[in-house]
Amino acid sequence: MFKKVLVANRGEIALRVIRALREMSVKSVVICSEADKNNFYCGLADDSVCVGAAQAASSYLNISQIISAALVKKCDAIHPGYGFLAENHHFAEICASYGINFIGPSPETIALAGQKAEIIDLMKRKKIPVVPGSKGVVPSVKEAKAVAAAIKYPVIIKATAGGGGKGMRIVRSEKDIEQAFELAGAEAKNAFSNADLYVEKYIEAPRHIEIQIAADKKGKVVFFPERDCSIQRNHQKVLEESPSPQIGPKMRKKLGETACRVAKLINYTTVGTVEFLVSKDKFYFMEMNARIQVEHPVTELVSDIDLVKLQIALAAGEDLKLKQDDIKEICHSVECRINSEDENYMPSAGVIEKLILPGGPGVRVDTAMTSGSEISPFYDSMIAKIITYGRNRAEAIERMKRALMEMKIEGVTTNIALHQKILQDKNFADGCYTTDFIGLMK
Amino acid sequence: MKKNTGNFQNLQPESPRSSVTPKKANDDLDFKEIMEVLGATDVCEFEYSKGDMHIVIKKEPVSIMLGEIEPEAILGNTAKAESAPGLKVRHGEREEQVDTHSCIETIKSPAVGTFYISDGDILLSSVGEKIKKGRKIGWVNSMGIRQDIIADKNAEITAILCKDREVVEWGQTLFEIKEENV
Repeated sequence: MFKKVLVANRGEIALRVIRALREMSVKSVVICSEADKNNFYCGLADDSVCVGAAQAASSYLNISQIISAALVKKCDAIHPGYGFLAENHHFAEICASYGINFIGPSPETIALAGQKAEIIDLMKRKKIPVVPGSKGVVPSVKEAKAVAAAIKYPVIIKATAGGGGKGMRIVRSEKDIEQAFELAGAEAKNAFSNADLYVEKYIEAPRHIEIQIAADKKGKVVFFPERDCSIQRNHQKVLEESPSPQIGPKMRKKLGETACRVAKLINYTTVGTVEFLVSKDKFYFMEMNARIQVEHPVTELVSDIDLVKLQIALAAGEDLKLKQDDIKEICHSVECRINSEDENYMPSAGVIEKLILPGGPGVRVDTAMTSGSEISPFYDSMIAKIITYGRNRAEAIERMKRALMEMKIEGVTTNIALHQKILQDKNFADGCYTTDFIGLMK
Repeated sequence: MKKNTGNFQNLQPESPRSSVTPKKANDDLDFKEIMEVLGATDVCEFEYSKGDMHIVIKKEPVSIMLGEIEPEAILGNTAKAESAPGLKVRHGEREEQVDTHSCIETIKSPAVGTFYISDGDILLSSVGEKIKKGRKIGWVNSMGIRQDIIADKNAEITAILCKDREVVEWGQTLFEIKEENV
């Protein structure tokens, strides 16, 4: 096992990793920017080191300073959390060149998982169902039109390096494709420094279902109960639950087994997530997320397995002791991402003057915020993840309603009202929702 | 590559006066080799592209920063400050003239690394010493790259806040100095 781990992230995920390391008796050193230096979670690690100014480019993305911090603090591993450098295969490679263990899959696997067009092509060749679309990158509008004509409208144009809804356009007819192609390319270039696009069939009103997997270096892979992440706004997840209210045992088994096959095909190790679109009785592979995800707590509660501790142990070379039959659904869980945002749903910076967090039976709160914390314009605007669990879905939802009622945030505006509206919705209560749920909600 | 590749700022030259020398590495260099090559040269600016990786390293001179000291402590005697020439200090929204004879400034670490106050057997600076602009007063070793701390004004060193070979973080105060009109 590792002796000392550098936590190369911030906020709630940094704290989540610090907590896991503490329970594993592994020393932790957390990096911070100048803006985060006085945040309470930095004091919960065994040590902290400021690596740069508030701008992420100077600190949380500053590879040389992060590696230097790991070296001078004598860390034998780096946990990248999610976001920032978590899926940067160059960073993973650089860690290895300095003899530092990267807590995640190999650089080669991260690189393949990050190249969406290539991984889709691989899955097609291996007969894993994928959404029909272009073979790799589409270099011109002319070719985009040809692909769209072949697979039929509506289609979706996506950035190969994309994520979080950026560089993505839905096109319903040929007259709109030229403008959409140009806009998606410009957005992708701006966001990811890579304007490569691909085109695929747009599946109307699907469910976004993802499967958490864990894999060791010997090739053993297990899957966990699915997460339903269909409640999205602008392709950003808002609320997640596990298990999905509309996935039966047959589909669950099919998705789980496919996710394990995907992981094996790309030599995946540690923990990761395979995302699928599910429409009626069909499913399509979407992408592999080579990191721990924001919504991992719902799976932890449903399976009663600590995924961060498992991730660290697997990165340290331990064998996966879990057998597929060991993984059971012991409850139902729901997660609400509480963000600071204005009336136009745009991230909003400011100081949290007062923060009262919910508690009581069946409530877990993952946050690094307290009263007086600042929502910095330099980072994402998530205040907290509220996760509830119950013996069944209805109990988990009722607990979430109660938890959100108990939660008080003053000083910044939040999306709590949106969550309350979702939880009150009849279709949501019935478990009848797809990715267009928020757009259609009355 | 799907996310940002990070950047490589805050690297200081052997001499901050070195000319800017853009360089391209050969395609086989990896990050560690690049850092080793940079550590052994006085290259100031470096650009490297390999596949989807693009690295830009700019070595900028260490700046002496005002900060951490309470503004009141910096301002000292306001009656004197009103008539004193030279330095201006931002105090919230206000900009005030300060007495440069009593002004304490701080010099902060440009990088995470190991601080050195000596060069082999030669002590580079000590408390009470009067230093001239351009003088090397210490250095930080960050991943094998030497980042010299150069005085950008004539001053007296009033405090050295880190021990020789101490691990320092970015922005950590290394020196306190008092500017002198020489």
